[in-house]
Amino acid sequence: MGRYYLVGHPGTGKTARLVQQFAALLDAGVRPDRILVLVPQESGARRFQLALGATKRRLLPHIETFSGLIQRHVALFFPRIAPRAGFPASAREPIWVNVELAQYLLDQLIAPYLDQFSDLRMTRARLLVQILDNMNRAALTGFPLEALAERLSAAWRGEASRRRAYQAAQAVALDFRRFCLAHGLVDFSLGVELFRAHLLSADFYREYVAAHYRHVLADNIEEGAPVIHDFLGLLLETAEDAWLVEDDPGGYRLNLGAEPESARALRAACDQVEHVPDARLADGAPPSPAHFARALMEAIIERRRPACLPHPQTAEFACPRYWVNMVQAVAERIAALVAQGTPASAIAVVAPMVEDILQFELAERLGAHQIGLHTLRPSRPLIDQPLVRALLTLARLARADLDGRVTPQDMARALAGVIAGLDVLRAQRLVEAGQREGAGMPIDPSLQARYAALRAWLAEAAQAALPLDVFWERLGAEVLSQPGFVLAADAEAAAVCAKLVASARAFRRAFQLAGLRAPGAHEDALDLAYVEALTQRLLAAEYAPERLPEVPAGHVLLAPAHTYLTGGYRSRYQFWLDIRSPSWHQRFHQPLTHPYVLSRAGWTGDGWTDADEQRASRDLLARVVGGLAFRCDARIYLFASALNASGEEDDSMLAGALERMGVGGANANAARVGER
Amino acid sequence: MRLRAQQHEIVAGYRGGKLAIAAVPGSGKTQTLAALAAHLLTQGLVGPESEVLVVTFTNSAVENVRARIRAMLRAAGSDATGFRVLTLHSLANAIVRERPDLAGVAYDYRVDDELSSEQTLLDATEWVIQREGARWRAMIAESLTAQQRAEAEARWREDTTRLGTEVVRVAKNLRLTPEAVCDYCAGAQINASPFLQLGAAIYARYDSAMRATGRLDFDDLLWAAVRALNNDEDFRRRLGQRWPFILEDEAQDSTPLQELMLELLSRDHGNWVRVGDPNQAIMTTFTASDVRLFRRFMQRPEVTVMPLSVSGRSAPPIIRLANALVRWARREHPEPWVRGHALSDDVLIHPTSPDDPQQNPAEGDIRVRGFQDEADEIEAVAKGAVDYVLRHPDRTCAILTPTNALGQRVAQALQKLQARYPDKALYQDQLRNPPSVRKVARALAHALRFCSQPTHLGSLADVRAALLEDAQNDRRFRTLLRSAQPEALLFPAPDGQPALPPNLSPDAEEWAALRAWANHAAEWLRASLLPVDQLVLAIAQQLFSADAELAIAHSLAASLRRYMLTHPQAQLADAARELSAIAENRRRYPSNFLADAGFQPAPGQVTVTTMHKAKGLEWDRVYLISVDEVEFPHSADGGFRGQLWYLDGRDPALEARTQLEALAGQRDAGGDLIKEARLEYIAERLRLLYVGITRARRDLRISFSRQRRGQPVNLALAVRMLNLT
Repeated sequence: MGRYYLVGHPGTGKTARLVQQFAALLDAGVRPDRILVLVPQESGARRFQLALGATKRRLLPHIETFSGLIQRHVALFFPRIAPRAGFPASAREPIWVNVELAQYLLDQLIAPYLDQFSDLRMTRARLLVQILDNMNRAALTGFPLEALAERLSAAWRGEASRRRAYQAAQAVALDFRRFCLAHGLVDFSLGVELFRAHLLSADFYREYVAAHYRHVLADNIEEGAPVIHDFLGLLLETAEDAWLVEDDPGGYRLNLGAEPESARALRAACDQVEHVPDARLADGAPPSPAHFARALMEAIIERRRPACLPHPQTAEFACPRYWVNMVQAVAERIAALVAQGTPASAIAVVAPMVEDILQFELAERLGAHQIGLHTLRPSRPLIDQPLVRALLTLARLARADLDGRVTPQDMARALAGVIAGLDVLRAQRLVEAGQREGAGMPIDPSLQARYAALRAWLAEAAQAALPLDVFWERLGAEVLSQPGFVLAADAEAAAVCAKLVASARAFRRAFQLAGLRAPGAHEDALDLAYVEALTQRLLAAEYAPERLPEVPAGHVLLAPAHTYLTGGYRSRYQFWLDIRSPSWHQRFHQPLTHPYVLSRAGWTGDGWTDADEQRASRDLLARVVGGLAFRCDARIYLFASALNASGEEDDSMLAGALERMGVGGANANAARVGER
Repeated sequence: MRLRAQQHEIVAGYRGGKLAIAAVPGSGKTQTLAALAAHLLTQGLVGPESEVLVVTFTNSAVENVRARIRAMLRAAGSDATGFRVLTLHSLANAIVRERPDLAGVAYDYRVDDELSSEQTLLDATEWVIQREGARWRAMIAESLTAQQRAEAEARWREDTTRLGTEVVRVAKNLRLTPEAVCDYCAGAQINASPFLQLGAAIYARYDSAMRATGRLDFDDLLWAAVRALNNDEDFRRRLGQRWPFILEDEAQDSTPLQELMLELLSRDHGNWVRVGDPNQAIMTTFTASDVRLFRRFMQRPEVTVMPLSVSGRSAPPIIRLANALVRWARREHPEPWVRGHALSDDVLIHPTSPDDPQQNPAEGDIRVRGFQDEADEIEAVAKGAVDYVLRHPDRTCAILTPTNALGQRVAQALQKLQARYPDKALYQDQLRNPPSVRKVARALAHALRFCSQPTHLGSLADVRAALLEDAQNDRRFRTLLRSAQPEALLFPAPDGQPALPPNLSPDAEEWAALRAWANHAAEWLRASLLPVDQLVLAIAQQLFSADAELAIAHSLAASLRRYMLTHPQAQLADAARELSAIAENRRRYPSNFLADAGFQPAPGQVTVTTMHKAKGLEWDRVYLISVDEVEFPHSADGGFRGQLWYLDGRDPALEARTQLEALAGQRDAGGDLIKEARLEYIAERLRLLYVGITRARRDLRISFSRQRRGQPVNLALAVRMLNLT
């Protein structure tokens, strides 16, 4: 027994050893409820749950996600810590505020400060997201909101107006915090703050933890924020034994405060640190994408030709002139692999950003080969998803009080969106037929029957005046999950619907629980306020989802590189698209927030220079592409186009590094890619 | 490729530093720049991690320059790499995109093309007009009749938009926020003219609309790039290392922000080559470009100036006339200020030497004619031009007008003549949106219309007709479509083959074509669930493959995105209408020159366009019409006859501009700003005349009419003084 720290490349069997250890503990007769398994997100918990086996147990081990544990413990001890944290005495349990509601509330508070942001050009929603982001970072890293502006200002070296904007952003954050405290609301940042400031340092909590968690297994701790590492530090002191696992390269949950450096600081508190060797890189091992990963990371970080070039068959490069030809070529290559016997689900397509047009074009082209496409875009605004727009149209039909007219075209698109097998054209015919009976229409009677069923249900719902979340939930359960409707066959769609219901529900519940009123109106106006926020893209929630679905059989995965990496996927073949896009190495720059300046270890406080930015970009890029390649078993296909989807030339750090490796230079028809 | 002696001297002699190349029309500016870029690379003056940066003014020039450099490098046996050709805007975009945080924007910032920002400006103007009401009306001259007043109000509305556009541009180029401009207007430092106050109100409204939606117009983008470079010295330095040589084309049209951006980029190494013709600076009307900038650059002590004065374009009489115009303006212009500021005689045009592969046309002639009135002039000129192309089907010919409105009247006259020659295309109307833009917009509009009403297959035939000039098959295609059952054709049941009536049974080829279109259409319908801009892109990926067409489709998609943002209730049919407005010339698609849209004059046809848009092109014969004292005035005092008759000859846009510049300390605030504005106008119009003249290869026909709005008017003084009549 002791404290172990395992670090190694993805794909070297660290998690497997953790699961083994878990099983061994259970086999050894350790009380299961004295075991804590900590993972970044739910998909990481699966293997541990499987290891539990089918045997019924009276006591279960705790398998928790980082944020799930924080939330649960804050709720558990809320009555004890609430008064000291500044909540009114009446606050007995926390009212959780999701990111949608947080944005909505912030939007009500920001008006007096808007002048201070006049030097910045961005939408209101973008402004709000950054303020929330700052609050989260302060909590996850462990400094007070009052220090935000000072930290950001110290790093800023440009015009003075920016410092005023930092001050204003901090003032809005403080107003929001006061508002939450006064109404018993707990948003993500406040939850973390309560955990950090009022639990971690409290003696009663230390005793609780020491009593409950005797054995600790934590996977992917590099994806955790410093506050999680503080918690792990506490466990290292109080538990009998602990196994911590770090993936290197890792640290992709940058916008959730992931800090590999602060994870590494835990090594000092462990009895043994083991660097797990990578068998794929051993002498004499056959060529594999792991070689490519190592060389590419070196080419990026060291900015030179790598000492040891990978075997050419580990990666293949192509660069047609036009973007659409690139997508076509990708689809053909995938079709060829599938034809040779590769299961589609063993193939993944990743790009730095996945826009609608990429998803659409790729789905169309793969569809021609009867190959499905499973797309993950968790951080996309809800309203940008066609299914959400369809559900909103149906809600407008049943709820006359929601503003917005419904045209026959809207209706046709909504029908085509929810009735499986119905194309827009036939949907239009159905809508045009309207009240007339559909006899004689050249449309399959079963489609007509589904349309009739939907209409009947909507007519009934119109009488009931259901709150939006209930409306959507029942529509989903009673109609759309029936055979022949969209949710029945499409897990992706079901997830979108569930997300919409959850978002609307959280919005309504928090309002009601906190006794808030929608501005200037009676309670019914709440749904109207929600729809307004939805359509104005205020609800552009950007957070990593807890749950990422499995890729269904017969489907190729399409995901942004970051989503792929945080989702714990692994593939036989990977396709990397838009190699020349600068988005490969650029973080999501925003003028009012800063993932490195607002971190614990990343920055020393002397002005954030362009060299710092370059180093951080190189480091992030190397971790991303290295992480991808270590998760690929057979081969990587690299695709670029001379002109991007907008018809412009791009250049990127990634393309530059590849050229240093001798990949892609021959096809680059415009320019050498400069070091950036 | 052989370089002329002057070109060779520039290319072989340049090793670094600031260089201004003063070039005349047709002297091979672009060729010289391309050769210089290739030379720097083949001489090994550019490190492996660096690039020669070539900056051009227009999109069409980018591909042209790129191809030339590539060809030169290949001819020299080198890799065709190590350089980057960008427009000023794509350069600014590249800078901002790399560090949006430094520029004060977020990573997902949007750049509006002019089409989108123009609409926002129209909205802002209308809002201000509504608010100002009586005060706005009171600015119109008092002396007008009731009928004139009605016409004047309509004109004033248009010119108020122009005023707003100008104030927005100039303020941004002076890096003044709306708040700063309003502070100036309120301050006691100067008596702000009502025009400037009006413009400032439009700027404030416009800017807050842009800001709230997170959008940047082109000047914002440049300003953002400059801010990013200023906000972090290390960032600027690194970009300087990436681009150790900067070669800039069309430098005479530089705006203050553009110049500043390049100045900052080249600050450390100082290797900045600017090519321009100061006598062709005619962009003040459309951009914040400032003719003084390039002149000042040429006068800087550290700048070497080299001439590019040899041109094989025009016949000797044309060259003589152009040079005579320059000399007259320099020495004899009645306004002393204009002598020093309109045209530069540093570099006069010289014909090519006898051994040059491009020989000037041996002969040509120039005639000047006066007419009774405009109608006579237009009729005679149209007829003369048509006669010319009928007699010389291998030659090119253009009628260039000072204004768009006049050009349209010329086009109508040509249309009448065209009726007599049904089998021949006699003229190309190049006044409005370029044909390539109209074509793309028309095809996309029909495709959107189809998506909005998919049961009407006729729109599909309209898409096809917009792309293919194929009248015969068009009829057949429509017949086939009409007889098809839309569902069966587009989304056939898995077992069903779409059937057509037996009397129409298409042959295999027709059938394949029909299927291909049906497949396209089915894909659009599936894509029609996407946001409209993405739908347009998906359609464009299928319909177009040429770079230029894709680029147009992209800019149209971007403007539709903005349209849908500001009109959340809008439907596909509304989006289709927006595109139709461009296809049908009811809305202007911004492109300043024909050459920018890839236009090439066709032999045997008369081109009708404005003198402005003709920049960069040449024709065998050129007609310049309405060359009178109103269009080309020569005196800033009582005799000044600007175009804005209803404002007593004052020009609000120009006045606001000069005052704004004075407020920002760029001008003497104590000067007579109305007069200064007029002098600038006089100078700019002289350059416009110079551009018009130098479009001609062989023959030049200058004309005017003796009456204008019932008032007698004279031939422009410049032409009178050149003793051509």
